Amino acid sequence: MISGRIPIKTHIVTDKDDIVEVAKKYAGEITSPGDIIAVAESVVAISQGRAILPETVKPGLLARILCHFPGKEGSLAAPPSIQVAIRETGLPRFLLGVAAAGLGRLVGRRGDFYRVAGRHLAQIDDFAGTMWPFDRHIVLGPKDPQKVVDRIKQATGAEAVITDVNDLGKVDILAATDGVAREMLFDYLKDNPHGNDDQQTPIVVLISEQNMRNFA
Amino acid sequence: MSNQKAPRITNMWSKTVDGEKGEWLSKVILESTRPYTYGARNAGDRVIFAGKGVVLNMPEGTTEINDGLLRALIAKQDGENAVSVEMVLEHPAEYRLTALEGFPFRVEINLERSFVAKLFGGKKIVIDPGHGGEDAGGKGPVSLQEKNVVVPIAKNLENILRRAGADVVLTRHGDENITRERRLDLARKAGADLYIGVHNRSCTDTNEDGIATLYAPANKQSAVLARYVQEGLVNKLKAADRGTAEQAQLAALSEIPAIEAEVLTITNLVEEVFLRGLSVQKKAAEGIFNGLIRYFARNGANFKGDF
Repeated sequence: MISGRIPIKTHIVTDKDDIVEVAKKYAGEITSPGDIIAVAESVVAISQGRAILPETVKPGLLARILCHFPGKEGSLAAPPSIQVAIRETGLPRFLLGVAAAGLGRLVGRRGDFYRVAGRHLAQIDDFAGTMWPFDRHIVLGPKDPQKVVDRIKQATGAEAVITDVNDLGKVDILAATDGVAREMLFDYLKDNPHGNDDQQTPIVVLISEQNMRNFA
Repeated sequence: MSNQKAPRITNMWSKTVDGEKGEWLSKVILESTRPYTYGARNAGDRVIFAGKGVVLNMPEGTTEINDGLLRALIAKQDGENAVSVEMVLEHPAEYRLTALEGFPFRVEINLERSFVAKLFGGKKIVIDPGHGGEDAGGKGPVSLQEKNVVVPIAKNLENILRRAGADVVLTRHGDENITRERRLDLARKAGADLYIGVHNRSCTDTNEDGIATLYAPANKQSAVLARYVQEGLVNKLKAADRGTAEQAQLAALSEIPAIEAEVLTITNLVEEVFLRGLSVQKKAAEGIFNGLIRYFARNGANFKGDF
């Protein structure tokens, strides 16, 4: 049972950082076993060097055509981001996703593109989709998220999750350690305590009921 | 068994808000895991908050705010169990501390923005969102049109200026055809203190990005105003500074300080995406506003121009 949450402001995380060390540095003195350290997926990806400057991507014809279609879901809006998505999932699967999205739209259904082309594409943040100074980068989803949360638990003793939360109240848990009841997290994360724009709070600590007495 | 931990300041942020009594405030919020002893004092151009028996659980150093009153917050760990947060101010401000019990524990430092409001009281400002109707202006590599994106930026600016107490006139609210002569005529007839055109840069080289501000050549104050607005935009949007330059098409407006703020470069792929963002549109308006504050503060609230 979660009884409180603490958003934590960190330094600007870059690919020079190990996200496990970052979690330990900022949350290690606050958490106890039973608490949960929630880390924003974009920051995990940035620490893994998965931020790409759009100028380094050469969009193909397909990417340049698809960017003109309105009603795109997720954050793939510009040709370089679409090209990166094609690279991540492979052209055949990407095209199947486009076809599924077209058919889905005919029957008024949303989300078919990501169901077919791969949920991992929904984790790509187009530029302007993340915090400065990475707002001029395309940020991919994190690699091996389960390994990352397991390492955070090993380093801190607390449970850990990697989250993809947006300002529209959408909460996705990309990975969680075995002591986390995922369904309990939604209410504590839906208002995006990781913040956006100028708020750099990529770590949020969720305090369990039994550990609240440490803060009385 | 309880394992009570020392209070730790975990987060610090700021926003401008309306207070309970209708006052305009810059609110700084410090969040911590538990309550601690604190106080604050004025020291020159800053208010210094000091906490005792507390540890800084976030990076030391400067966080830029640039809200027109509060320039930056500087957080420091002073010894083992003391923390200071310096609030660097652009203008004098009264402050008030409030503790909010709860978890996390919060201290609010409310800074009065009355100095800023006084600068704009009685000022008439004409905001001109560029282009419109058949004149689309610049066009982004994907599909964004200048005539469309400048309207929300102008409306954000209108809202801030109204909150500051200025009298604001917009030359257009929707997708309308308006000649440049009519726009300038409107500024003259309104008896405007300032004319602010809102535009985007366009370049044939799609790699070129950044912000520029153009000014009316026949009015000395226009160049000064352009410099401040350019600085405000670059600080707020953290984009390339392409400087200020004369805009011959504003020459007819010699009696009013007049500028055109070219907010980001629409022909650049990255900045086209930026311009679509609601938070970027809001920040652009805040950047222009910050420039206007510095202009009026330099010249005094009752300054009518030096032509």
